[in-house]
Amino acid sequence: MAVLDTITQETEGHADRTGEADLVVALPSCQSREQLDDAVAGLRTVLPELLPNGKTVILHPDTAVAAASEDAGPSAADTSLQLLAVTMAPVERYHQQSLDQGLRALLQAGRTLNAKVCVMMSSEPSAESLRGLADQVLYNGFDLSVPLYARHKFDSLINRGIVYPLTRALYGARLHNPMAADMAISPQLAGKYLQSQPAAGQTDCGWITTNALCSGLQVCQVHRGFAPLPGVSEAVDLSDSLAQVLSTLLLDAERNAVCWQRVRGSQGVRTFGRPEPEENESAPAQVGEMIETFHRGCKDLLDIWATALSPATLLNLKKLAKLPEDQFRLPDGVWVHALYDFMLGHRQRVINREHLLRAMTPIYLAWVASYALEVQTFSPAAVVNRIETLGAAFEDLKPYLLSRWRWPDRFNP
Amino acid sequence: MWTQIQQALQESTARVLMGFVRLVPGLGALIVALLISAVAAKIFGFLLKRSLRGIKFDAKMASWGISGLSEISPTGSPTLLVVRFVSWCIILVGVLIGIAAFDATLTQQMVIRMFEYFPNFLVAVVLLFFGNVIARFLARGVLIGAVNHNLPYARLLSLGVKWLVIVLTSAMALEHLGIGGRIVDLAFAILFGGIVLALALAVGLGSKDLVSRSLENQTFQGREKSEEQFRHL
Repeated sequence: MAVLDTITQETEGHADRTGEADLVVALPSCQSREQLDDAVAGLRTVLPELLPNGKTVILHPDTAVAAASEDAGPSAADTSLQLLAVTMAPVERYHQQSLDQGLRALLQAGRTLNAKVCVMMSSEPSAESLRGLADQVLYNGFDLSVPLYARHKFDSLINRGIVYPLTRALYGARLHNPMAADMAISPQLAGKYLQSQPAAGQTDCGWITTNALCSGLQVCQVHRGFAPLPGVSEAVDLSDSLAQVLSTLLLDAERNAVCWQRVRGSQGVRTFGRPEPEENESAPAQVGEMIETFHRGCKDLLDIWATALSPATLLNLKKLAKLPEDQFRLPDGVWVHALYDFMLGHRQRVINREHLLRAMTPIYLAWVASYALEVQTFSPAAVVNRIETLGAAFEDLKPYLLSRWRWPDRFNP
Repeated sequence: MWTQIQQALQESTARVLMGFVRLVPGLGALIVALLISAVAAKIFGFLLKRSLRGIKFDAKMASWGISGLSEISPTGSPTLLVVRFVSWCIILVGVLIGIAAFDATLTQQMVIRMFEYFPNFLVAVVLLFFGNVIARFLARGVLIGAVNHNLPYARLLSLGVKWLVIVLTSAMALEHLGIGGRIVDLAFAILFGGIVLALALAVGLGSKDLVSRSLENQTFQGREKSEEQFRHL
């Protein structure tokens, strides 16, 4: 594999001259000099404690010109911290391609510099976050540590309703933020990730979290505060976002089919830190528009749904459409069946994949409406329990997914 | 006088009978050619069907992303579509051979005219085929997008887009075939304009609430954003 293919020639020379480093940190979100100055100043405060007598290299996008290295960066005498400018685009949340590019730059640099830990800080370049994530890899022997953010009950709904429970059922690990874009990575996992090649017709090598889980490496999560707001513009249209997340997730599942078909049940993941105290929120959920979109989907998208959904699931969705708003509840079983059916339809390419994933939006909105109506008066702990129950339903129905994945032509009522 | 009439009638009857007798072998040959080509089409179709099923042609078409083909195929199987197309081509060749038995000159002229016309015909078929696939693809995309944006006339909008593409490709195909001349141009312009007007009216009347909501959102973007109750990402 080409060495440092995403790092510029100049930086490559710089990396060689740098020699070795214990910690390599990538800051792809620092696109301007001011952002980089602030981030470096913050990170420097924690480095002596995190790595006494250790050496740190910070990778930053070449757009935030290395003028920072003259001001906030290290002086000629200070060899414990160095800055390297690399070609690095901001990482979008849930966007595997941009994360993959950033990770490759980071891990290649880490390998050249013989680093003990590589830290990707794509959304939150804070000292606390660096310490929390890097500590577990440096001193506790973990190969990957990811943040576990506190969430309001109506936040991060795609993660709560799809990403977390599906990853839990497939890979058997109760990792609450499997698509994290901030993480600390051990040299062992870095080596595995850099060795992996994209499958035919795919542009990336899959999510590093699932890569670590399938390789049997040690993964942990670290409590952080509330998730930072995205630093770069993200898709604002819900169906765009949903299609993007589902596509990443399902392509990853196809890639790792051999691994997850062997997994049964799930286990908790070691969690460090203290959870952020959450307030009780009991604002009534405004779900009228979501239910209306679901009704419209039931009227106009039935033909498309029928290409992927089993007749029983389709019937249950039709029944749901007849319920009044106060009784509107999508049972976990129906939601899980629907998601598994779309997963199988995506695999078999029953129709254009992009169309199939976008057609799921009204069903997802039905789940959000049902979830919101159910948990609107719940305490934060009860909301967590509700999501755990959903995760268990995904696990219970995994045999259905397995059976249809292996024998797609078998009769399926 | 009567004898002359009788003689004329006999001669004309003989000529008719002679003509009919001359036609019979040709007709027999045509029927035989048709029967043979039908049997050949059946056998070749059967073998082709088995081989295509053997290589899982339907699944391969789906995996190559050509799912539009199965939608226009009989019983949703591209294998059957290919088999039927090949079978009908064999029968057509049989008909041509059969016609050759009637009159060699006529057949030669027909074949020359057909071959002159064939490229146009082929282009028209290809245009119609791709037009159909693109129309369905776009119609489905528009339908899904419109439903996701909660537009009231989603299906009408999708149908409009579908027929726009079909009308456009049909007009192009007819022009390639040289059928209709200016009438096709005129009809196309009227139909196309009509569909666009109907769509514009449907969207305009049906989505006025949506447009006003969208304008309100743009005007009060900051306030709306802070009041958003649900975050999906």
